[in-house]
Amino acid sequence: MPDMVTLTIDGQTVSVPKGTLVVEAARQVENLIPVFCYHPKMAPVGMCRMCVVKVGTPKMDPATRQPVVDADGKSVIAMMPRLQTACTTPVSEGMVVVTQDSEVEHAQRGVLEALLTSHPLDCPVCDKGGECPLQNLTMGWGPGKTRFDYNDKVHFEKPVPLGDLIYLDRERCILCARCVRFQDEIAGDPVLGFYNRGRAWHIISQSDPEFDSKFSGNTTDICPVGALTSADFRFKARVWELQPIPTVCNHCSVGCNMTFDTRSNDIKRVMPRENDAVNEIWLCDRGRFGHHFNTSKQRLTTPLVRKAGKLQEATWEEALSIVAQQLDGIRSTTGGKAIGGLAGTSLANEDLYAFQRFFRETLGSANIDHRSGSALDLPLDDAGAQYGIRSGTDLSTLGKGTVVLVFGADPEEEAPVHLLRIRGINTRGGSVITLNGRPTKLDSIAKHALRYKYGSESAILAALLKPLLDSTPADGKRATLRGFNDLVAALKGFNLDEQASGISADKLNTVAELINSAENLVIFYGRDALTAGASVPAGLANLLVMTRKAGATNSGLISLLKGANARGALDLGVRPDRGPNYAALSNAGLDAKQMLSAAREGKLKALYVAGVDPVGDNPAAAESLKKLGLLVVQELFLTETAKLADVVLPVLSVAEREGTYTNAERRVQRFRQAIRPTINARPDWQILQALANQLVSEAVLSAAGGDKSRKQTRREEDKARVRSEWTYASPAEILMDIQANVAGYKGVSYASLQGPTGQWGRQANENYYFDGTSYQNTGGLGVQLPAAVETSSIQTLQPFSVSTPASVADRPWTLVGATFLYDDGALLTDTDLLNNRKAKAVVALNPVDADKLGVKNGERVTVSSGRGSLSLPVHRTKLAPEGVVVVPVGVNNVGLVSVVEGGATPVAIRREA
Amino acid sequence: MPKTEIKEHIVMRNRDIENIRDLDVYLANGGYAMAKQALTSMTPAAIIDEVKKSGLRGRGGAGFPTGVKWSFVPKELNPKYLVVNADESEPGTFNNHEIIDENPHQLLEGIVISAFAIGANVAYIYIRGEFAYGARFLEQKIAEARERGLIGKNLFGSGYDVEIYVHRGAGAYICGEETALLESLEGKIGQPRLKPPFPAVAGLYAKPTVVNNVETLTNVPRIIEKGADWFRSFGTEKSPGTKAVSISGHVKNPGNYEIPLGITIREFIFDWAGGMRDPNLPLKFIIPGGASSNWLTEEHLDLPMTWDDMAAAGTMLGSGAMVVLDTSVPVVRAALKVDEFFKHESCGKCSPCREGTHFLVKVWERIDEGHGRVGDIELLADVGKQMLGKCFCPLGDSSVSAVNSAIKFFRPELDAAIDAQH
Amino acid sequence: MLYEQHKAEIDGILARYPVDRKRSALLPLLYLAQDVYGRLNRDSIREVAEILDLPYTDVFEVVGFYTLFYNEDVGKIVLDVCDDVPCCFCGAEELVADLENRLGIKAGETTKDKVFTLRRVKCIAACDQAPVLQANLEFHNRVLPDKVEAMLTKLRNDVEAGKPVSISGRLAER
Repeated sequence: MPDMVTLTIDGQTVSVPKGTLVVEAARQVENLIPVFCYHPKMAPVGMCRMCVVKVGTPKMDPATRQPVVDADGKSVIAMMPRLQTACTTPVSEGMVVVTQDSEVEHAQRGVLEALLTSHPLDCPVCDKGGECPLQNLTMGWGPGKTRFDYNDKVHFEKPVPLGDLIYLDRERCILCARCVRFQDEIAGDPVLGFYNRGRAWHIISQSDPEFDSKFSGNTTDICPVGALTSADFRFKARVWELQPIPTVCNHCSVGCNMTFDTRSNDIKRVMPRENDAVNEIWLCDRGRFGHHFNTSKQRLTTPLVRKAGKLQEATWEEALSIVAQQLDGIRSTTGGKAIGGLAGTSLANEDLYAFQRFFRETLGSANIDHRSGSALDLPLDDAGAQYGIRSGTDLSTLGKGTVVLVFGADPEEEAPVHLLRIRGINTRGGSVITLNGRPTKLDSIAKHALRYKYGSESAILAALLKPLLDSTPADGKRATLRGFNDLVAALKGFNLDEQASGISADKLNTVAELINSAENLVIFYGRDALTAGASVPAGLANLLVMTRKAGATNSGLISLLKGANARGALDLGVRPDRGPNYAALSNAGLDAKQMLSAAREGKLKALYVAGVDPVGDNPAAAESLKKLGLLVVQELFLTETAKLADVVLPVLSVAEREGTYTNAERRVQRFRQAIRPTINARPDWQILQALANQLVSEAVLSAAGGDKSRKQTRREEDKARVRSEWTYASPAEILMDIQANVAGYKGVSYASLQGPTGQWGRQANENYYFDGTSYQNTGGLGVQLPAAVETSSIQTLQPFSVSTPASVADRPWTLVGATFLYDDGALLTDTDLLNNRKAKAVVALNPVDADKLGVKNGERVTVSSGRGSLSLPVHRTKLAPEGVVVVPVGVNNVGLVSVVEGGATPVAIRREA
Repeated sequence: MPKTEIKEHIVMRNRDIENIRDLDVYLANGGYAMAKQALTSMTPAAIIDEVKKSGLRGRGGAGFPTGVKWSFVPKELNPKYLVVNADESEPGTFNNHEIIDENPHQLLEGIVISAFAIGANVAYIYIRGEFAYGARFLEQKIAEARERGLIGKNLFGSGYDVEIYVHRGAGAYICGEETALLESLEGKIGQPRLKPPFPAVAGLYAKPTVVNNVETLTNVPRIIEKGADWFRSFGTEKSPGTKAVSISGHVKNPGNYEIPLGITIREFIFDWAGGMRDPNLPLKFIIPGGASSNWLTEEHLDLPMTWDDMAAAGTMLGSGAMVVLDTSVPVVRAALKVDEFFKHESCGKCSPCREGTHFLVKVWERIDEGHGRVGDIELLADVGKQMLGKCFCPLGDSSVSAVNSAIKFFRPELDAAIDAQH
Repeated sequence: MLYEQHKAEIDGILARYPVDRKRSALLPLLYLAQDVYGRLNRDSIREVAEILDLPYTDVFEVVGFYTLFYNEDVGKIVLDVCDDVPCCFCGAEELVADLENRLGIKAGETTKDKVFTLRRVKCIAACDQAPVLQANLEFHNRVLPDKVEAMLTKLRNDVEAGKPVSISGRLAER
């Protein structure tokens, strides 16, 4: 228990932790002190003066330092001569607070009248109307009538755009600075400010582009008036007509809790749902604005079947029976091994589980993957589950004593809300270490911002592990660490080559010490780390083990995988080498890359693709796919792969159906149906169930051709494999199946995902003026799965080795493929608002290097590896370190996929004539 | 009653010694000897003690005991900074202006001694942007002194360094408020900070910082030289020393005067400043301590000029700025001009000040223009009440002084101004 | 290329502040940029921001806050007349009217020939010298009606003779 302080607020006694502000203490006893500038997530500023209250403290006798008591033995209270702002006054023992009396009311009425002297009162045309703290507080605390002349109001040009996403109405603004402070303190993008002063003070943004932040939408939530409104929701609906449906963002692995606010079966806006353990009350702009794909006119609306070389509309019956018959035909003739399946990371857990069942059980194929088979695929990451952040960890509570190591990751681009959470830990007194090959935004707050040279990742980890190894006592401790001697052997004779790694051994020793002394250790790793070899995640896991943090409270790995449900895909065995719950398989199937080669060689006859776009990711894959006997694509859109398909099956989007995702922190969360489908599409799991059932039905089996006795044998085999007909009536039933069969998901059901709802900090009766218009979480906070290491008594060190990349004489540069938040992915279809922010098809080159090559901005270079080459215009930027060229992943017309070899790739660069 | 004689000037020594602004003249008159003595033969504690004993109070307006302020600085936190408030911007105040232009080395010597006393190696003089010449001039003076080893590294062989830099503001009255000044010195907009933490603990760059006024520090070399008792031979028990006071408006001899604290307002106006400018226009009211202060009238002429006596009368000595106005001045116009100043200088941070000053100006304006309304006086009073004590910093409160003073002393004139319009 | 052309001066300014606190140099650098470019427009503000590694918005904010930074065109000589208490009761209003009349502009405007900008300003700490003004921040005390024309003539002649001017007051004399 922290030190508690007891005080009296309007006669009501309340005990709160020391350091609590009066305004928060009052909120705990549902005494609503009105606020405008105060926000519980930000440092108090005391600007608006709305929260003034009377405060008194026990009078102290200066001689005895004891409280003075009156005749009744009660403390004499000395009231402060001036009213105090409740938002800046910390509680103290015996304090007396008066929030309601004539003096306080007079002052508060004055503040409201003052604020309204500059406010246009254009509520009828204001998007904030109906959820506006200024409206509400004026009704509750304001004067009924102003004494100020209407003609003396401030006048500004009516809304001006602040960049593409946000409109600013300076007349409505009450200058509380919530938005400016959010950008400075929470987002770390100081792109908003104030111009002029006094009554002419107004918000500006002078960044390039204006309001250059991935978190700008949040300012519209916390704006207590309609000064900042979103371009997306502008004039779309009155807020009281909206129906907020709880959902989970499917744009990245954070899994932000949000709502689709709907009206007339249309998504009008996206709002955050408070979940402190995931996104607090924030969303990134991709999540907030990137919902238009759900209602895109480009969606597939009906099944398509290739007839006479062309995809033509078909009925579900027709399409499904073609698929079933053809799959059965191949299964009967060549067996399941000639069939491959790819199911992507934006599919729900229920779809993924059904998919791997369909393959393993129905088709008898182990050829399953969630990747597309391109050179940019990430390796399968098990460390993030085995050594994952301990269940029950809430990053929003971590601070002092916590060390966050960000290794080979750019959270701002890969999982934006994690950037906010890491910044929050730093603000609360934690330390951040960034170890990256290139600069990231987190460097500015990092206690140690270290830049390694690409290729030296495992050496860096070795340098961090070595002192920890050396300091581990030779007693029983070592024996409890499985793999200790192997690690000792791997590091034997290791010495850091400071030149090659770019970081001094001393510096890494300091970091190792800091990590070792941390109370909590949270390690984030992303694309750069994942593509740097198996020893990198292994080394990170070993850091946890060696610092006794593996499975420890508030510690563990967070792997920033690509896609909303990559963790779900890994957990549920949508991969060739392991079944659900990472179960070892006796016979591994083909991975995506192998499937494409097998297809090219004619060994793979059929490929079933759900939510993956191999051709979009790598145009060369088309050659392989054209060799297939059957290509089935289950999709939202007519992707490049779908265009080649024999059968295209349209699916429902996240807004049109139910399901669950598992986020990077292994929290299973539920999304719900927000709008009624208006197209002839089905949820993925339903399609798979229909096919599975057709494939075990006699009709299909008897219709299959081939040798009769052989057919008989296969039927027997099939029957043995297939448990029974699939009878899932809903995703909830699939999740029941998952929790029964997948150990890690034990206890996870739609009922458990539903609760608990609501969180401390919320006003029961006034949920938005205090901290913005985000919603109270009535849709459930999800369930965080335990990491494997939590339940194991023995700590295992992972196989680790130091690799030193061979330098290639004629390819002295390093090419890195980087993830950018705004890419050309299908989930941004029709979100035109973000078009200008999308990563450009350019080569980012350090100005020093560009000068060496003699290239100006926009001039083209050819970048060649041992595999191939690409040609792109140059963008000179310090975001590329010297010697490194950065090219975006997932952006059209880049050609990166034909150049990279795994991760960082040695390349030659030539200026084009 | 004869005019109180001042034996010698403590801070405006330029009035006693010609060209003391020149380093050679200053040195010939014992200049920098006290800095040398302080750094080579005194401990910081001894200096603080002497200043405490002298009873020197901050000359910037608040009158807080300087030695006590110095002793709040935590010893263990480093670096520390001394910041000199030369942002003299209170309407009616111009005495720092004279000290800077005419007696700069005494200020600089005071800075060296005070920096040593609080443990600072760097001092910044934050000078208002309009003192463009003063800033340049001080830089020259610092350069001269640095050349002679009087400012800079290892002063007088003591091993102690004191660097002094001039930092020019750029036009904002609010930067006279010490935390706004620090923000401005950090290259930001000059808006006051939330306190605590106080600058003594977390000031410039979040380091322990003492902010002292120009005149305050200019006193220090003389206190070290002649001792606390000598200093106390000027002024009163609780307001010892002298005060450079600016007097302007409708007096015969406007200007700066260094007065012993405790003389009456009457003596100051009539004996020191030569009385009213026009014998046919008698005194109407006095703004005694800068535009922020509550006004006084003839009935207060026998009030002694000390911090405490002025406070007891409901006003303040402030930074030493007396504006004397005669009966040619319409009260409404005077109040309007005062509140226009505060409206112009309101930084915008807090709502009661930002909107309230505007509200007040708008009402004064319409009365001044002949469109006053019945009830406007009550409106001014009520808006003032909603501002007073509710603003983030004292600027907002200051704008209420004119409202309350005008109503308190000139209600009939205000009523008449409105009645005449109906 | 402010930095390249004024390297010594800028480095001198930066040297006054701790290395990790170079934002403190913002006000002095803005004064310099204002003199070099004649005003603080978008490009000059951005240039200063880049020298100090500051977000553009932060620098605009500062330019907007202080009255001695000019984000609009001003003349070669900025005349700042104090019209505060007590100056307004000691001849300031008359001085403003006189200047408006002689220059053919209103307070807040710039003469057509771009030589003078006339502004009303608040207290400039020379109340005993009323009516008082600053020309490019150089004090002109007791500017009584008989002195106005001579003052303007001299200022204009200086400009025409090519005498260096500094609207930031960096050349202000006593």
